[in-house]
Amino acid sequence: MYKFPDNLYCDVRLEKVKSASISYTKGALEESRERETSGACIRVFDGQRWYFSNITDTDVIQNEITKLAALARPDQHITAHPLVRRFQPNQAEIIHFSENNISLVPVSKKNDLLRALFPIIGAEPAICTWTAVYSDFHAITEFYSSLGARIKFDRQLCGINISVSMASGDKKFSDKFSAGFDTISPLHAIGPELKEHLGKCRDFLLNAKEVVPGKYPVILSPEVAGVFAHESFGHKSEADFMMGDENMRKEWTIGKKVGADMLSITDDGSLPGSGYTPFDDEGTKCSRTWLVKDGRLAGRLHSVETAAELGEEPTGNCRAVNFEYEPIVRMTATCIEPGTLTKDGLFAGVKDGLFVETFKHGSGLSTFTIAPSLAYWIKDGKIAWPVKVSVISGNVMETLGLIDGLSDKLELKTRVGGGCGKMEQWPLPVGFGGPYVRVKELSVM
Amino acid sequence: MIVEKYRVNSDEISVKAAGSEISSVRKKNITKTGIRVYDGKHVGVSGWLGEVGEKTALTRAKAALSGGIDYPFTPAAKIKDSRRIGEKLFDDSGFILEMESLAAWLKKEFPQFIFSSPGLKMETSSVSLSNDTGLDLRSEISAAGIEFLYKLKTSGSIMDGYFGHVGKNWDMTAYKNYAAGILSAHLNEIALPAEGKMPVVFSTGDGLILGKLIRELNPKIYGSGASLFSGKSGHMLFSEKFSVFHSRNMENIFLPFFDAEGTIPEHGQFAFIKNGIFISPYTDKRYAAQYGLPLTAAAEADYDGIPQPSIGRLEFGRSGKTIKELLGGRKAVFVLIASGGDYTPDGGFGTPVQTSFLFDGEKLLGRLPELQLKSHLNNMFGGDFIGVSEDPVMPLSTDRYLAAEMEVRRL
Repeated sequence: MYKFPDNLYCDVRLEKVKSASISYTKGALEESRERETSGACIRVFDGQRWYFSNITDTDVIQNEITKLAALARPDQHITAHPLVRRFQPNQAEIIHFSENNISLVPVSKKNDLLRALFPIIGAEPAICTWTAVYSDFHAITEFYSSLGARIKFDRQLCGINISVSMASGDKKFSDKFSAGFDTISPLHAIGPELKEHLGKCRDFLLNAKEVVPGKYPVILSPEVAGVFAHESFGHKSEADFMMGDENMRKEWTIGKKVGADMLSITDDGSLPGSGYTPFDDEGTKCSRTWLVKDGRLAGRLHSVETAAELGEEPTGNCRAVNFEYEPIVRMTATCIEPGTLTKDGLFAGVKDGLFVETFKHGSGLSTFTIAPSLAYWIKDGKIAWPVKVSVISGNVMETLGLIDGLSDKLELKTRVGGGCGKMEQWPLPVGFGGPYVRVKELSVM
Repeated sequence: MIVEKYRVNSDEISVKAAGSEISSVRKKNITKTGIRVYDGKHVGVSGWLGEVGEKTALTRAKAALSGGIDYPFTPAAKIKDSRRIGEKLFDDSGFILEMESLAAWLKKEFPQFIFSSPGLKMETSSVSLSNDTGLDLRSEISAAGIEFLYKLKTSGSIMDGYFGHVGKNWDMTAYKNYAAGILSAHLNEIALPAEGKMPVVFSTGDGLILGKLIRELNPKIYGSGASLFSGKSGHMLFSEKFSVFHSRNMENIFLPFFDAEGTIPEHGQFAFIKNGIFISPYTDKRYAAQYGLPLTAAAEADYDGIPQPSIGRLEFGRSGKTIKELLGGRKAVFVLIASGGDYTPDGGFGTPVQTSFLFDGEKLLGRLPELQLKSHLNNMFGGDFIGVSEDPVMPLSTDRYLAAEMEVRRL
């Protein structure tokens, strides 16, 4: 398809994306958009440095290859370079969404789906204003390389986000309900879940008390546990953070004890939902990577470049948010693996503590943080009353060691409209999930 | 029927650093265009990437009128204005050499650290909005964004801090001095003098403490009664030293002087809060009309989207004093990284602080241990508010120091 330059590594990633977005505020239509975009990211590697170009005119890809090659210094031994040797020259076509391709569903049907939820929102008296957004995308990626890779695959997501602001006198509260899937039919059944969530928000608005800051046992819902794994450990597992960093490599040797014995964390691009991608954006096949197994460091997330640097193998975690960017090491779907306790059994172990059901955002450096939205005080093993919490935080490595209970079912979350941010690339769809997770002690503010 | 074109172009060169070395070069030039069609009651929009697609987009935009998105507002008309700031500081190879030199200097002078960067950039971004009723607005901004992340080689964290600059000017010496100030202070671990209430200083570019303010200034939330500010226009809610503006001053904010509806604010800015008195949330034409609010030129849009209200970039009323004068001889906590904190629904604020320095108003004296901060919206911009400095955080920057008293404890 393309003539690649001699003595250089080169690849081309083309994307065609069809997406739809419908937005209402308090029942008034504010946006109804169908978009088709296409473009390409071209990469050249000469053994010393990478050169990238991102273009919208896919007719000039060959010209761009030539321009980039002119910047690089050819190396007749390029194919023996430890980085280049790790590229997988896969040839495959995996079109997963041909029968239920979301872009073939008329926008009027998507609009009807969204509007069907309005009576539920309208029936909630505490809501002052609300926004309801339907969004989806279907993306086809093609990948070609100078090593003979020839890949085509698709990805797809659709979902609804409903943001509500409530007031009762001086009391105010805002929250968001999100539901996402990789096909449209499950979205027809989210009404009861929405109704239940709005009821919880009203209860929070009317009855939430200020939490007394301190250190407490905390139970994280599967959604929050997934974010915790993503922020506290997932980013640390992205091997590009170890480039040129001998100390980090010594700190993070495979087999090192990093958490409680019951703790295992995985990243898997083959799971359905937000993190699904059969290949990454440099043609590596995605698979399950154990990051932590039984409390010990078991693996890292790699691009070809980081794998070569660390003498390991690529894991299929080199992804770009779209064609306008080069791929970097990213997560796919990151989960805490389930344990053995029932949910009730997990709660029974807390005399006084906190349950975090939903969150606004999270972050993870040496200290991780989660800003709770719906949170509840646990008293004698039962959810007692809602509490207002600014943030929960803890030292990452200490907290992983303080996990002392995991429920027995994994819940994997899919979201649309948001995603993970790293460097300048946001939002990348990622999956996250876990069981209910109990931590012996976290700082609560 | 009025036809309007909204065009956005980004032309950049970006150099990435990893492990203190320049690892890649990226060239990008991407144009995105939207066509909007107004019939006096509704609006239809469609767009395309690149150069080809106008005819199809116009057909789709006209078809989208029947979709029923209300837009009974008159598009901006009969204004012709074109403004440009900045120049391309280097040619492409010159830029690469300059960044290689900077990375090499950092590596040599501060061997205790590892430096990386998601992108050391030189970019020219152009936005134009024009229609067949005489509107012709163009904005062109050339600026460099030079930001490094750093971590100590002995640190187990993925990053310990950053230093950076976004602006139209470049001065290698000034940048090196700024970086050296932060890095030298980071190497000097010191104890927190005492726990309790003390001055805490942020850059005005730091979004964390402004998050609640931004939420409460949202016109959808304000107009529905769900904002802490609802119904309080004209009320003194904060310190008389505290003023917040929505700015369209290109020199300061590096955004176009007009919003996505072609509104240009009088004097280049609109005050949301003036001398502690709350005036109005931010608005576009829809929400200004819906709630009887002033039009603040706060419309933003995707190239192929309907304009929506968005806060844009805030500017603050300055005190006329340097940060040293504002601190009045007291030492302060200068916050470099406070990641993950937030507010409760009624304005309580809490955050961990991962990286901060003891600051005397002129110099960063040393790195403090990890901290936690606690305050309340009404206090940090009310009775505990100290002020916003005249002097910038670094000579090339438009960001100033913002200081307030807060509860400070070790984490």
